[in-house]
Amino acid sequence: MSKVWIGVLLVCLGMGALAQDYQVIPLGVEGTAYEDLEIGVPGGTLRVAMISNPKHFNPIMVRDTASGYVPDRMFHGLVERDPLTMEIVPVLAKSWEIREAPEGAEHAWEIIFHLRQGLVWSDGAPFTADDVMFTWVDLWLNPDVDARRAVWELPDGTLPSFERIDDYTVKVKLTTWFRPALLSIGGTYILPRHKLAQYVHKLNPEVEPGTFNTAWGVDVKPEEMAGMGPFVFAEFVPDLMIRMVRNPNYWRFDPAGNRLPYFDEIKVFIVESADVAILKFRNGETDAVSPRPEDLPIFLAEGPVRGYTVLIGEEPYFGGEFITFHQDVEDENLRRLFRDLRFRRAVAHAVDKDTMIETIFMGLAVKQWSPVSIPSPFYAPEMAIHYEYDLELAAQLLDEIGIIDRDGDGIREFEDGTPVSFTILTNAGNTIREQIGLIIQDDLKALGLDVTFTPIPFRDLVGKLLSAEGWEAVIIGFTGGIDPHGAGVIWRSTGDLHFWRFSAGGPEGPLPEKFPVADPAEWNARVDELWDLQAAALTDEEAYPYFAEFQRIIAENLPLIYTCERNFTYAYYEHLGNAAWSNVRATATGPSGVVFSFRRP
Amino acid sequence: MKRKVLVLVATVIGLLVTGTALDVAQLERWAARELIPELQLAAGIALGRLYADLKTIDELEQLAVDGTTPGLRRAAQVALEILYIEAEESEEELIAQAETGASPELRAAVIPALVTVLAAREVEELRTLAIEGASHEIRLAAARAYYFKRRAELALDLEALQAQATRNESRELEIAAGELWGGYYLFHPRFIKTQQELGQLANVAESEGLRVAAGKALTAMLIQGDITADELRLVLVANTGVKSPAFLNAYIQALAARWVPPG
Repeated sequence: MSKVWIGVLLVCLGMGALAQDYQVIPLGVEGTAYEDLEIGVPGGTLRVAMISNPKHFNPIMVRDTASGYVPDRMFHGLVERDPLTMEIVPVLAKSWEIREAPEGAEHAWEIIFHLRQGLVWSDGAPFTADDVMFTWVDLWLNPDVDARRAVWELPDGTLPSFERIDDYTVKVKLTTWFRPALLSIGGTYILPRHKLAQYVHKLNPEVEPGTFNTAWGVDVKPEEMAGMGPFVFAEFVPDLMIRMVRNPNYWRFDPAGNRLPYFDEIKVFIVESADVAILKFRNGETDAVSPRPEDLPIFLAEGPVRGYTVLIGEEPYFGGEFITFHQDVEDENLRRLFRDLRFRRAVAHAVDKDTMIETIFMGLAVKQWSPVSIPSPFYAPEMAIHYEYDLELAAQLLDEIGIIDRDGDGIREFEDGTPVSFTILTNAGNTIREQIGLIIQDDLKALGLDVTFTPIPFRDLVGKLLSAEGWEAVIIGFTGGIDPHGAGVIWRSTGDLHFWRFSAGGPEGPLPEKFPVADPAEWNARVDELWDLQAAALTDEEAYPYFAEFQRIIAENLPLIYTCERNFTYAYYEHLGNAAWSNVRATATGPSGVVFSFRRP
Repeated sequence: MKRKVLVLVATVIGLLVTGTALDVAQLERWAARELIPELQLAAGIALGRLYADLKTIDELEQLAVDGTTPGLRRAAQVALEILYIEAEESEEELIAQAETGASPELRAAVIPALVTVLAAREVEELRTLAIEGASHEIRLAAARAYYFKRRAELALDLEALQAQATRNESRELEIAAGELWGGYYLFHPRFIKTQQELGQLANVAESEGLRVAAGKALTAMLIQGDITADELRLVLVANTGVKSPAFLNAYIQALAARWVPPG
């Protein structure tokens, strides 16, 4: 063979290797969860609705759903969790190694990410380790940038450090093992250094400190941004629309060789209410929507006539709705009562979940007993304690505490004769919580408790909860996730959201001036310990027993009394291909939408 | 033009796949010449889905008035329902047409668009309009908007909703309550019904609202079921007892969906 042919062959082999590295086919491959994938027809516009304006498009500053819409479609991390298999899969990284640090190193563990080679940003600039180091070091570790670094905090209180090995290899260094590291660090959206370094004071002293925090505001020009995600920002008209267009350089392909995504653009109509979003969908002006329980009678009857499908999953959504009592409330009688486990057990037995499921959720919800979301692999149903609806037992427990109706007026009194009277708050406008509140109020009244249920504006409610002032009981919910690790802010005694008893954290908690001395519940110390243990576990499997014990502790002690969680629902027109794959972790129109292919006749 | 081609391609594919779908020319013949009114209307509904991509609003408005058969006029109505939503006409224009449109089909065509704009009003205003509105079409649009806005509240008191589908302050409120109530027959553990029960209710329930409710649920069930176009036609042409408009409408809608799938 001549040298020329050998050269050509080497070039071809090199290109083949590069293509393998570059072209990712995670879907539709036989033997995988996606093997039934329908190949889509490129082109068209995906139309959806959203009920509020984004505040900015800066991925690190996202604190609300609307502001996350553009970043979620424009950026990727090095890894992500597959929405069907729930496994952590490579994205901008092609692989990773986790290993103990070499002897003599200052750190104990390291994760080495090998980046995909040959990828380019949407504007054509090459994607390299410089972008990763910029994101991790110059943004996330930079005190000048308002990033939520707490999610990176290791069990020993330190933050990870990073090393660039070469153009396509980066190393994360951990002083102690941190189980969630792969996803919490590796899953961070990687941002373009060539576009954003100019806003970072340490890299460009000409700009004021903190400039990055206001970069990529809603007035950003599309050409000032670049992404590695399936779509890129194109236009924002406040109160009207966000438009994104396909990233011409997107690096994922389907098994037929089509470059993803299929749609040319996404139009997100900004509407004034959820009702308008529902009407727009019914009129065929949008392609998909997540209906609420009250929409189902309309959707199920109308869908077949209008050509749309309603998916009702057996799985509930992530998260949990609950009632909780303020164990630091100023009123001494109430404080003592709310701290009494027998009272909380009485309330748990007075939560009529069957009625809630039938009347509020029309049968399409499940009873929740655990602080871990039901779809999470860490959910441990075997640890649940089912407090069945039993008003007689609830009344007995209240009698045991010594709160009884002393004057025959139908209301129980404390020993000093004061009526047991308190207010349950929730955020106004959340129809499900409002309905749950009415049912709980009725049952607690039937037990002889003088309960007032009052929905108030969300902002006011949050203010009361976080200041530990002006509230006695609340019905609210937390959004959950696959890995409960992030819920440390709720469950650790010093957590910023441990609002039912901030005194547990004392001087280490979020309100040290109000609670200078720690006053934890008896179980707080063990949960704090379990949180460290699960974070230090080597694998998810090893972490499971710690989370299971945590769930048992919460079930026994009932700091929060859970209610119900509605089942996943999703509606889409038939022209939206592969939408039937949608689940609680991903919808065709959701952040992971690109993993679905779309068809458009 | 591109859109027209795509629709025709989709229609041809539909024919190949289902063996029952009809093309524009066939549907036009049925909508214009079929002697059995129910089959003519089914053809009209199916044709309307195609006309939305093939004809202009002006052409369709003309057809909604001058169409020589109810089938052709229904085709125009169905297409206009889609196009009026896209056109985003003002509330005043829609109300004017719902009141003074030159044919029932032309007036009815604005209802979906009118529901959307009326939904911005307060419920009490809608209730009043659903009782006192100047035409059936205005009252029906207002009634549908009224029940759309009250659906969450009524979900907690289904007995009240059922009662409102049985008797109400106006015929249109009763119908709209029935349309909402019908959805519960499809999934609610306490109220779910079989196809046979729905057929029975659609024919003989005590009020128009309850018959509409059953008919609405029956329509969904028929479209999603295995019943073929031929079987649907047989029910429509069979001379077996009295069939209510709600019952017939369910089979008409289902047959139209077999001929041209909606969406």
